[in-house]
Amino acid sequence: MQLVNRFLEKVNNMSHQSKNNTREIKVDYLARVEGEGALRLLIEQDQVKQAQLRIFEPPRFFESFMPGRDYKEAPDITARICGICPVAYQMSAVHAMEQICSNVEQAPETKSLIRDLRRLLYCGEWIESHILHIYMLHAPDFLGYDDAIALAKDHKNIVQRGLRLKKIGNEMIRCFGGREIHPINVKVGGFYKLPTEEACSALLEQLNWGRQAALETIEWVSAFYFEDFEQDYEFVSLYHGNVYPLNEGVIKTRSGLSIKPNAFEQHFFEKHEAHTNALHATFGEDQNYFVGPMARYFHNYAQLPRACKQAASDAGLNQACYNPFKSIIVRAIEVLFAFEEAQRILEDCMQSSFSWCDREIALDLTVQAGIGYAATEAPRGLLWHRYEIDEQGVILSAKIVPPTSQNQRIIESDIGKVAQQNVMKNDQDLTHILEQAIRNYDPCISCATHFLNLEVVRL
Amino acid sequence: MSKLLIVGIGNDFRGDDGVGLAVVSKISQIKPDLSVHLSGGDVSSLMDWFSIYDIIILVDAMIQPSSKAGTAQIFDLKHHGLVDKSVRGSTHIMSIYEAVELARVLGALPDQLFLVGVVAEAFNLGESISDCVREKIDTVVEQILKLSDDLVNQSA
Repeated sequence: MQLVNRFLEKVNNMSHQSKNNTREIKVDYLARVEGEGALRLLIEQDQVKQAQLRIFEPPRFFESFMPGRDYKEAPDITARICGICPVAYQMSAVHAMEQICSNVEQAPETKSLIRDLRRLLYCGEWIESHILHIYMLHAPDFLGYDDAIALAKDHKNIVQRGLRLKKIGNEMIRCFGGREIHPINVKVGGFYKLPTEEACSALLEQLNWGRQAALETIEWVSAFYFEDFEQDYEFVSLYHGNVYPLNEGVIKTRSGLSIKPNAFEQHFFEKHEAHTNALHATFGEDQNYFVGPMARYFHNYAQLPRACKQAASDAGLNQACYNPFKSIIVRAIEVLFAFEEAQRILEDCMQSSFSWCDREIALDLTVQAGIGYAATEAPRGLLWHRYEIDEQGVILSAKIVPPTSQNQRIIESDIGKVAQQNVMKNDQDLTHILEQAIRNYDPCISCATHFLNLEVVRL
Repeated sequence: MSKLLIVGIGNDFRGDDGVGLAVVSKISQIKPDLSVHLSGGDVSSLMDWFSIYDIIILVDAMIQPSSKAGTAQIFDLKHHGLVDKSVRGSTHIMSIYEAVELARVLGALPDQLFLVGVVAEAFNLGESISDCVREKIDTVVEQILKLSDDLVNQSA
């Protein structure tokens, strides 16, 4: 759909009024974020008084229209929530449903294969989502360009590398998900049909190139200039003692909580705030927390492959990163991880004596009444699902807590602090740093449209 | 003969956003020999097609309140770009404007590239194409088939 005014100039639309000590800055449209909303910043006498992220995209009612549908439909329905991270929605949905269903004893090879190929599919989504954000959305901020088109004029080879990397991520999703957007090959229990051996071999060749290009990406972004802005975050992510988490693990907080997804609602709460259509999530009664790549990196650094740790070290990162402006480096490291993991899985699976190509692979499940919970790691962070179904498999209730909803409060808090730290800058420079700061969180507000109106009011 | 591809773009669960897909599906039924592709929204993959086909026609929904819903407008993207801001935006992950202009900068545009924008009425989630747009689909299909014939003949 082509929309009116989508690309109205952003900074060009700033209006600047001087009347006594009152200044007002308006940026009509901030491109390069995923979501429809607005940010309003209130500054009085050079003190930031309020930062509000207002999401005015109407609620999408997915949780409301799922009751009455068959449990097998959950992965296909929820995949429609987001065009960028549909695999995440599918994964959380299938894991929750499989927790309810009783599982007929199955060959361990089948279970292991399904687990591995789900991780492989998820790696594809991390690659395409992270690369889109790194190259097309965020890097132009650091290098002083309006957008990726302007960036490409001066750095053709770099943008071409980004496009090729993204294409590989898309290809992974098409290969194992059936199509790039809103994949259709994931089912409760496994996959409807796995790709042919030829398709897997072709993909493997691309992964070899992608791994090297991912290293070059880390080197590229680590040379950017970063605002000095370290914060003491309550990081929340999945933790898995053996692998960097995608589909499984306990939910862990920096303050020491470690819970199964079943217990999420006992510790994390959603509240409605008047200024936004999206629910605000808190840890405990009122604490902000931060999900996403930086949280995953904090809790799971030890599980990264050696090459990723070395690349992180070369990029100047320690075992934790507290500066959200450097989230672009952490995303780049996760891209390298995704290529390493995908390559390892695909090589192992193709060497296996177990025949799986070009056919359906799924667990034998028997539906029963119950409640299922699951949390997986979407590119933007923890994605939690809960479903209740009856003995026929009809969904009775559904609840979904996406990552951007969980990060809303920390985004508002950080934007206020970044604004305060830069309050003496002129309007144009302040606006630029705030736009860049918003993109630190790769917000996916709808989970996915493209308008953010930024308004700075100085009194 | 030049290779021609017709690409329908949109979301068939978002009201008239699905009109590009509906139009190109209809073309595929009428002319099964034509190369067509249905894109669910990630138009970054358009650049893959740019390097394979000589002539590409994109079909997508557009908002233009001054025009009647269901009518089609044709934009020559190869020679003029999307200077009209009313057709630059997108609900897709990367807009057509971004994909085309990026390809232009990278020197990756095909010989001929056209966008057929079908004026939409509503984009409500979970709804199908509105009646006033649906009843114009056959007319749009005819326009596109004529355009494709003309382009292929010109390049022959």
